[in-house]
Amino acid sequence: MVGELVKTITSQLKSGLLRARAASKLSEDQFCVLPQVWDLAVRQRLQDLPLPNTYLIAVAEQVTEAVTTWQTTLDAPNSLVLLGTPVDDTGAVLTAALEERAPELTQRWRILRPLDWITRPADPLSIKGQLAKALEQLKESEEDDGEDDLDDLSRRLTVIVLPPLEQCFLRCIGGWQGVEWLRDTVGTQRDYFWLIPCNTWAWAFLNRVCQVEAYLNQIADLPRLDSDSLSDWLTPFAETLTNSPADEDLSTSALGNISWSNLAELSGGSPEVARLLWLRSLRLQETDRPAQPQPLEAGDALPVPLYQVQPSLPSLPDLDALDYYLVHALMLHGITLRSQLALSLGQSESIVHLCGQTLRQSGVLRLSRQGLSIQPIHYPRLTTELDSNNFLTGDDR
Amino acid sequence: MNISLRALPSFLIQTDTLRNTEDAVDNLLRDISLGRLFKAALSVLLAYLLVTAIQSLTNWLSEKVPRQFRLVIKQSIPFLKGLILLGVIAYMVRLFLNVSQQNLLALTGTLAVALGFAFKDYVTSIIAGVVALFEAPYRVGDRVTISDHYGEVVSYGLRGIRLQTFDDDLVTIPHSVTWSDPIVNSNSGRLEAQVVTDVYVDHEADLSAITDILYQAAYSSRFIQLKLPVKVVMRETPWGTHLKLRAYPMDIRDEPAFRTDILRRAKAAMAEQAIVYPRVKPMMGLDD
Repeated sequence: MVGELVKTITSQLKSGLLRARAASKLSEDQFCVLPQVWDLAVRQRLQDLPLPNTYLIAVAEQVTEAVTTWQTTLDAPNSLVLLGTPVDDTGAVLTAALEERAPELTQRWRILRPLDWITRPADPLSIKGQLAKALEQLKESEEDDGEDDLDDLSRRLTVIVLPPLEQCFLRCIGGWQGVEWLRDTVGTQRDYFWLIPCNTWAWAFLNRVCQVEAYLNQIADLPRLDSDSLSDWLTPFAETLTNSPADEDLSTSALGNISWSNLAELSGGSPEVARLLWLRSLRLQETDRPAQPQPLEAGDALPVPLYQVQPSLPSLPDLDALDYYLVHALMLHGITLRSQLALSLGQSESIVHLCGQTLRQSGVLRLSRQGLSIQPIHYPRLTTELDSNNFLTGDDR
Repeated sequence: MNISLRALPSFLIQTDTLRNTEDAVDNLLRDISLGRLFKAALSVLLAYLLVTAIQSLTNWLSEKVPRQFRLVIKQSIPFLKGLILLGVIAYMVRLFLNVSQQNLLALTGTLAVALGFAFKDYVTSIIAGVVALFEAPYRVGDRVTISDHYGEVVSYGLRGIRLQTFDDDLVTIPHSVTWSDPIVNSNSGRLEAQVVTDVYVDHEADLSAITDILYQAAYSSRFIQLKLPVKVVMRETPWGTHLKLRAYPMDIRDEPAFRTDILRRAKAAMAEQAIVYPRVKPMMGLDD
């Protein structure tokens, strides 16, 4: 406990020092944040920025190695769980990684996605039935080539990519039956290789409640972006944003002149957190700020020079007990509808709606058509906060 | 003065003893001046303000920091208060008394006699409080049961502790109970403590299904500490089966809410499975 206290104080001091350093480089009179219209445009472009190739190749290699071992070794595991943070879309990363190597892989494997949903079905108790039905249809669609021979390695061609595991359960009675079914089925269906993306928080939870890791024991973590990878990824993007050279007098705040190791450390190597931290550090010179900024056309550079301050994590608002429970539920489940959150938390929908609305207004959560989710830039601080408040986190797996 | 000759030596001895005692008291006490009285009053006032400030500050701070640090901060209150009290007593003694080895012996003897008769219970409680600080049968923030009272220790005073019960009553219990009464501490300085939820079903009920429901009810409660084990145990009684779900909430303060949440979830699931509850009222106590 004392260790935790020291860790928290150290983290707070470090973060304070970083902010102080950032402030020392930034004179309030000289710089200002981007106008909202430009901020939105840059944010959109940044969201569309594909993940670094090296990152995707690293993931594809992990998958290739696991599948190849299964194809060549009789007793090798026939599943791979790919773990990422709740703010990194592990399912999308896996898809992108497989597409990166698509020409090579599709020649050797038959990649199937029996379930097309990426967010939880409206009735979470139906997930087990949907999984069973999908497997049944898959078997029916395959040509019957005689007797089942489990020792025949040449039959090992099919790779099944499942939806993210956090979207295959809800924390309520009967809510993880689908995962239990999957846990018991994967080992018996050795002619298929199962690729299962999941977030670390959901994995830690499922491990406690139904010991999934005892059955699905081949696990790989998403790679972490280090300072060089971040620099290689974001610097070319930054160059597309401005044509105007930065003022020489302000060269310490020139675009790209930030501590990439700080960015890597603050983001924990997560691309989604890094994107937003980098965006948050962009500045304009106060004198360059137009009174009426014009919307940017696609691909247009900003008409004024861009500057950058040291990245820093935003502060969290004061959170009360229900806020913590709601945030923890979203860490476990990823993007989730309010009705499902209410069922999981055992609270009325109106209370969850009110709490979600407050957190959304303070920027901790974001809302999309699929439901509420954690705003990635707050992920590092929320993790520390929940850990200090005795919650099970992704690091407890 | 009419004193017989036989009684004279004894009278002289008594007079001598009295004179010696008066001398000893004169030696022991310093002159009481207005300045000293003012200093004493000021130090008492300062100590009172300091104790009040520490109590308020630590209570406020402990509710603001993350849960893991709440009890550490709360548990420091008695020590800090003790230190202040000790400092004030030492200062007052130095202010009014000449503390030499001989005087100290005389003072201790006098105090022992005075306190032994007049403030026996009070002193017993104070001494028990000091012992309890180190033995720690209870600390601020703990959930304890003492003499049929169950609640959270919210204050640790000189003479006793205060428990806040679930019904929001404040029960004051002297430290001296530690000498004689059993003290049941649920969490012993930890945030978590085991919470037992009782469920009663008929002999014919499907125990496997009920056990599964209870496990799932516990694991799906938002209050549960998932890092600690969950157990369901059962016992037969003449009127039905008594199941006990043993689980830990993340924060012992959530004990009633945790139990309520588990029961609400479990009963909703059991209603769907038409679980049979005991059909007759128990003829004996629940423990039979």
